[in-house]
Amino acid sequence: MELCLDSSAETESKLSFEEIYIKNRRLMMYTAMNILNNFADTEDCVSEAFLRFSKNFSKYSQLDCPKMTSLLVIIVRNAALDKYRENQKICLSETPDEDVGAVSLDSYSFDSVISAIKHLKDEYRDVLMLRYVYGYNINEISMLLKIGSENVYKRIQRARKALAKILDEGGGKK
Amino acid sequence: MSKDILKDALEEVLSESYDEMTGLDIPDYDFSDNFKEKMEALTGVPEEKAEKKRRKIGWIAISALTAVAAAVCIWNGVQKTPELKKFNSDTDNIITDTELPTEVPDVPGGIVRTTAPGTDTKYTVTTTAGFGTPITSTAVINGNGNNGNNNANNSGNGGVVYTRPSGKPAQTPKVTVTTARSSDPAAVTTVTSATKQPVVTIVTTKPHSEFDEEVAHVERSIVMKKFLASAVTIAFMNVIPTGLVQASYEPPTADPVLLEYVFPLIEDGTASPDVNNDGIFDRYDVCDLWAYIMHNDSMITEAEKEVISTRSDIDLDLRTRANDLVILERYYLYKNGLDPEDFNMYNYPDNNGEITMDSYKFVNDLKEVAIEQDLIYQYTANLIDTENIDLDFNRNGSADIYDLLEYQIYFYSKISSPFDSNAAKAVVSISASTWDNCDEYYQKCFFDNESNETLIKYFIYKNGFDPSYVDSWSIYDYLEDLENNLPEGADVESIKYAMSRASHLDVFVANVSKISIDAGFLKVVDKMDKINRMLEPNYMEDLEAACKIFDKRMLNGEVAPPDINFDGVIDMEDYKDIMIYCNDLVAQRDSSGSVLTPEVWNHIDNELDLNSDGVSGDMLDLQIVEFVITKYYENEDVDVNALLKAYNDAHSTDNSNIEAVAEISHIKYLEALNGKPIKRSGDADGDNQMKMNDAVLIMQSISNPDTYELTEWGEFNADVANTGNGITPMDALGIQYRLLEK
Repeated sequence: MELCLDSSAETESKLSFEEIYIKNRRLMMYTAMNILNNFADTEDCVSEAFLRFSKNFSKYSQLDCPKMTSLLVIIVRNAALDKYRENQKICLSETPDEDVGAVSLDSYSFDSVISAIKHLKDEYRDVLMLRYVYGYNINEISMLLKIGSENVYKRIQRARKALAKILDEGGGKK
Repeated sequence: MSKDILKDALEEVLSESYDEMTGLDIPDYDFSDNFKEKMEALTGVPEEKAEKKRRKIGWIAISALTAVAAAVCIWNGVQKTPELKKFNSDTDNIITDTELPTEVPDVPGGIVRTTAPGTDTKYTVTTTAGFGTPITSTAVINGNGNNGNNNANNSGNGGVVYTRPSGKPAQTPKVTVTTARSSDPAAVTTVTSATKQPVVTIVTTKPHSEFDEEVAHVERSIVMKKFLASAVTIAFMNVIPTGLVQASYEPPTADPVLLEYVFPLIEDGTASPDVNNDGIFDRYDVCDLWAYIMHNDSMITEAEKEVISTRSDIDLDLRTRANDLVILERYYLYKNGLDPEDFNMYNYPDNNGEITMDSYKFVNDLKEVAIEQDLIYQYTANLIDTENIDLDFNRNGSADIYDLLEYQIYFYSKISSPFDSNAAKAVVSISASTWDNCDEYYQKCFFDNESNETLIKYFIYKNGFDPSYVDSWSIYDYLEDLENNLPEGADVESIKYAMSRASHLDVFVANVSKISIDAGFLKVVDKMDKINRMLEPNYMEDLEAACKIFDKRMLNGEVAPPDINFDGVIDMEDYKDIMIYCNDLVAQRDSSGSVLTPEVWNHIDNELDLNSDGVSGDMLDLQIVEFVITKYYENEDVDVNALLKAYNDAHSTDNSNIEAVAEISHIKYLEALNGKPIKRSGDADGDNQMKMNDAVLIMQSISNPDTYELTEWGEFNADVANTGNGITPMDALGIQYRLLEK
């Protein structure tokens, strides 16, 4: 593994883009390969992910190592999913959805919420991560995932709705 | 609460997921050449971008004008229902077409306009307007046109009781406007006496009148002019700290000429300030003289003009002119200090009893004088202290400079949509509670309508100065954080569109800088003077002489040839360096924002006084360098490099050190200037070849982006000209050049 094993030491000196690339490329390849099972497409996705990452490198390079690696995995996973759909000729346009109200998580235990998040589809979990853990705004998420701002809103709404559904159905224990 | 739980849970999942990833057994992939090439090209980009970001301060300053221009367009474009809030407060509660009851009901925050037709009526309206210290005004209008009582006095508690002199022959008592501030629950409007109960029409119901809109439009124009001025200030201002950290406020003194020579003439009765001859010197003398000087026939009658013409020569120069008004305005404020009622335009109706734009113009004119004498600041600062007004608008526990930044955001939005708080509130990045707190200040200190300038001044004098207050990056980051932490559902696009981050940044830093300069915390260093040297009429003659002198001294070994980058060679690299320095000056960049190394930049800035005129790195010095390089570069007769070496040998005690420094700084310079080698392939369409169709595709993508869109990689590859500047027609041209070279 070329991941950052000592994150505290790594964050003290900011990594260059090249170092980040060397450290993370194999994991990214692995992630995309699991989805696409096609080497050429996987390489395209990884290079695409790095290109998106490079566009706001100065900001992302401030992240600590686990978050940075996870961010790269999120980007490449979504790029791979897009590629997969393209290959399957599945055109999933994010159509407007019914309004989703706020999801109250107060009545569920913390563990059940974690469990429910793990049950979420990758793309839903990713968009929630980007919004709430990384704190990125809609435009930034839109740029990272290469989807429109409107679709980012919708995807976040759907993710929250899906999370509520999993919790309601007992995916998370009360 | 849900959001916090979700965030914590997501973080937990992210952490677990990372742990899982570290345990994976990932194979070694044998990457394709194509992939390696792509990544090789890419790994050079971000460092360059990081470099560009370091230069962003300069860019921010330059982009200020564009941003401000855009802001002005937006401002004018999104004009909503405007209002002048200051003196007529809230117009929502105006009552219309009603017979005046014996007791007018309480109209909190409302304006009551009473119209009493009839020629022989007299009534009094008393208003309590609360803003800090309550102000009580009693207006008596004598309807028969005869001069009525005319007096003014200040009550001990800051209130004022006055009666409006009629002074208007054959004038029907028509309008009395009383203002009660909506924020003060104690604000009450009552009729306290009436010699005769008139049938009175109280007009309103319109949320705001056309007049209000007109006034608000003018008001907004004034604010935006100041906004522009602030932005321009920062774009051309180069300031450095003086080291002062605390300063005490010194109120400005009146013009010594006025104090010593003119005011005494008024005091001893040689010149009378009672220009309307009503027996007392009050605000109406100033207003009447203003109307007379401005030839404003609607505000004074012919009879009044006659009187004023004989009594208005305040400066005793045997004529009445603007100077008399200038003196009278200043003398009035000098004697009376700041009384908010002097600036209430509803105190200055025209001959028909109507409030018009002229009423507003006069008030505005007088206000300019008050600003000049810093009376508004003194009044507001006193109010903040005596009322213990909390300036911690964001309620984070401390009233700091960022509270004033948030107030600025509030202010500009508020003034853009003064009648519609919800609309104004929806397009700001500050929180709703911060908005409310700012609004509370705005209501309390309504006299301070100078954006956040008064607040900044108060803050700086109270707390001292810290360089972080003018650190654009800190301010920019704070604004960015505000935008990144908008509540869910906020209209992000509108917020960013309404007033750009760059505009707020520039105006805020400009205002803080301006006030800090006045207080002595900062001083202005205008490096543009170095460039402007070439605009002087005798510049060319000076240059010619300076070049001749320098040439002679250099050949005599008295001065060293200008080795700008310390590499021991006089060549085009030195010329490039002075050009970069020159561009830095124009772009307001200092050494930290330049691609030159600090050693080189500071050398030019501080040590390159080639014509010995006391200024280093001005246009004369730069052009002398240019002269030397163009004259001696690859000159077979004179080896300027040998001259340099000889000079260094003769004057240096540690050549090895100089060479080492030269080597290091030159390498740094090259690294900084060129970055890592990046050569874009020109393959816009992704077919792994650079052909003419790539150039065509670039032009098509520019002219018809809806139909022809470059992929991300295509865009990356196609950026061959001025790499990093995006896709331009120059890229298409660059590809064609490359094809021709093949």
